Amino acid sequence: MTMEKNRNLLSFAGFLAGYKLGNVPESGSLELQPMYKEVQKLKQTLYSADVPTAYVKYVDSALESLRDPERLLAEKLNSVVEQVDLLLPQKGEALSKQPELEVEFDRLIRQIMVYVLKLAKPTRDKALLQKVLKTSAELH
Amino acid sequence: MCYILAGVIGGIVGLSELLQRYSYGIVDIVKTMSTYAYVGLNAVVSMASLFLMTYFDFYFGIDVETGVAKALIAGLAGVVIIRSAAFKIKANDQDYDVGFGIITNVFLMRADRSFDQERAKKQAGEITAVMEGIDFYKARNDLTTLCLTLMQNLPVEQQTLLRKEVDILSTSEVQLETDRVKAIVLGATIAKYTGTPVLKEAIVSLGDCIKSTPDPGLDELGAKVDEMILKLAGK
Repeated sequence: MTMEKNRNLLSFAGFLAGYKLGNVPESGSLELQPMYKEVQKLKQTLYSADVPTAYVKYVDSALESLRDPERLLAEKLNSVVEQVDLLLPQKGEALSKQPELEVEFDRLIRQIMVYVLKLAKPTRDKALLQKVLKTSAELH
Repeated sequence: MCYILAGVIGGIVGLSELLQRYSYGIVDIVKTMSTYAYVGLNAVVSMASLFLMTYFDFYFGIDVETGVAKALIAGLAGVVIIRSAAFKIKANDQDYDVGFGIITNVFLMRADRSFDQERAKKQAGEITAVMEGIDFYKARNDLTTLCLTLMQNLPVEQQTLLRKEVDILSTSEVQLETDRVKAIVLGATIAKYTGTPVLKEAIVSLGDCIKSTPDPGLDELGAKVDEMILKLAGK
């Protein structure tokens, strides 16, 4: 009897959320999708390098947090940075004998951090920005 | 007499729909002119359903004797027939609704939109004034959480939806140029769920904590982020 009206559509932000429901990428957000793809490529690279599964778990954890619909954007980015922080010290041990894969690994990590920086800036979350800058500086 | 009773019941059903759909207080709803158009239309629909029920001698299989009972059925159940499609026909691979609903829903939706527009016009100025001087980035979490805490009976799904909407506003996907506009949209988004009085009360409670003040540290961090993006992307 009541006329159906989606509360999602009652505001501009809600409209965007509603629009995305019909076009949901794997990461759950169009904005996160390019970074999500890079993290997936990183996982493939680690598989190719035949590294211990413990290293791949860091990447899995990052992918999982990106997909988690309950997490807010800042939380997702924070989690990705945390996993990169955990992964970086292991790089030498895991990839030192495979220089080609090491180059690809470095390129992907840099690309992921560029996405994180771009997405983190509009959040104006001081703690997150400081953390992202610290991790990025280690790459640089 | 029965038609008046059916009309009153239909009007109450219409008013309850507006109360269900919008978070405005009942006084605000009653003060809005379009409310009367929507309620009136519902009353007419109920009276029409009573007329049709009497004409076709159809009372949903219920054995009714008195006019009051007929009016009750027309007001509560009869409108379903008038407001919905009796059946669907398929043509050119598309389903088309057939029934009174096609016509009545156009009028009801128009009345509903007119109500929405009238309320939005009134609320726009109110929200802009309330959100004056509020920093979007300071307010988005604290103000949202406080408003949700003040509300004692907001369903969890709606709480989650509100948080999602606020999160979307925080991202670069929503291309709002100024922080002032972001703050106003934040206020309007919260008010949609909690109503303006709760929003006002929460802003008063939070006081200076969410007022905008220049933050050179944050601007500096933003500049460093831009610099780092160039360095990493250039490698």
